[in-house]
Amino acid sequence: MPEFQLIEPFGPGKMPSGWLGRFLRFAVVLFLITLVVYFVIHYVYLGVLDRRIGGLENKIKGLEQEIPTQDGEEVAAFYSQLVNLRTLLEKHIYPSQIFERLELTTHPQVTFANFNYDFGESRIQVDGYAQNLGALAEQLLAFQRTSDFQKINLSDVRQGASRLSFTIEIFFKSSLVLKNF
Amino acid sequence: MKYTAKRNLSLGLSVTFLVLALIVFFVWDWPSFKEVGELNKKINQEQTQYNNQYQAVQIAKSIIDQYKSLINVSQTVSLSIPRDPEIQNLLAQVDNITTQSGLTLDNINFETAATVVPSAKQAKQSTSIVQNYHTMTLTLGLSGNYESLKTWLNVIETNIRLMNVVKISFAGLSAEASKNIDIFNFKVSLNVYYQ
Repeated sequence: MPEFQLIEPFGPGKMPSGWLGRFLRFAVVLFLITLVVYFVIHYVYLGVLDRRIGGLENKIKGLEQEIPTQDGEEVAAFYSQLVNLRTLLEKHIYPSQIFERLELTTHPQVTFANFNYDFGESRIQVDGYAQNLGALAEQLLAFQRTSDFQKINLSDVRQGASRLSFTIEIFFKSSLVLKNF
Repeated sequence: MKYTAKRNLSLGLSVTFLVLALIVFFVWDWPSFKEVGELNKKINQEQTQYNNQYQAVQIAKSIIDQYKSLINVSQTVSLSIPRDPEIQNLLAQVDNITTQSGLTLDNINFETAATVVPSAKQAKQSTSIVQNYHTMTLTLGLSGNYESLKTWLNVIETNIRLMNVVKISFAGLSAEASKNIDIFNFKVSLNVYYQ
């Protein structure tokens, strides 16, 4: 009977098989790669990135200097003038319209002597004379029917020798002196 | 035994290099990667800032070119709301208008009012570059007839230098003071503006 024999004898002497050598090479290569990566990044790539950042910052500073300061200030002042002019024109007032309105609504038997106009208070105060009480009443009615007059106050009515004296206070709407274009 | 020793040495070296690789990776490489990421982020921010500023500069250049071609308009606007009070021009204009309207200028007073701050809405719309305008109040003593006052008002309202008549008061002269009852003493307050 032939003697039974293993195809490959089992034992440490027969296990070179190369895997350990490959594992060692792999570990060394991996180590070297990590070192190379570190040195490339630390001493080359970071410098490149820093230079790119510096370049961009310089370009930004260069842009800031492309506009002369004086030109910028001139344009800003002109723009401010335009904005302010628009604001002021929207609020521009035409008080001559008050006189036109008063002339249109003044009774023939009524005369105005003293006149006060205050835009801030939207108020007109007139002292005047009326031929009689009826004329004064019609005058009041005319003022009250004027759409731009908000409130009418009559005071200090006094009967003189031939005529009545009175004071009328009118609170007007701002639309009376503002023009809408 | 010799072979076993070699094998153990190889195994030990392999493990050592592997551990060293891991140490280098986590101690040196990983922070470097993070630093690269931060720098790239900063580059992107700088690039975005540069692009925005480049566009802004191009727009500003275009605006400046337009402004330079609108010098006449600028001069006209400066007549309405000058950059200084220009009191001498104001006096000349008021005097000229008064004379042409048939009134007499009896006295004049100046009062500088507070600086007008643009409203929040305006400030928001026009950002912060809009300079405030100033108001100066002139109080004039005028004398003349009623028709002249109306003429004077019409001219003031449409004058190139922007003026707002905010107060008017007048009374007829007493019979003792004047035989001409058509003559009135007017007191007028008007606001003028400058930047």
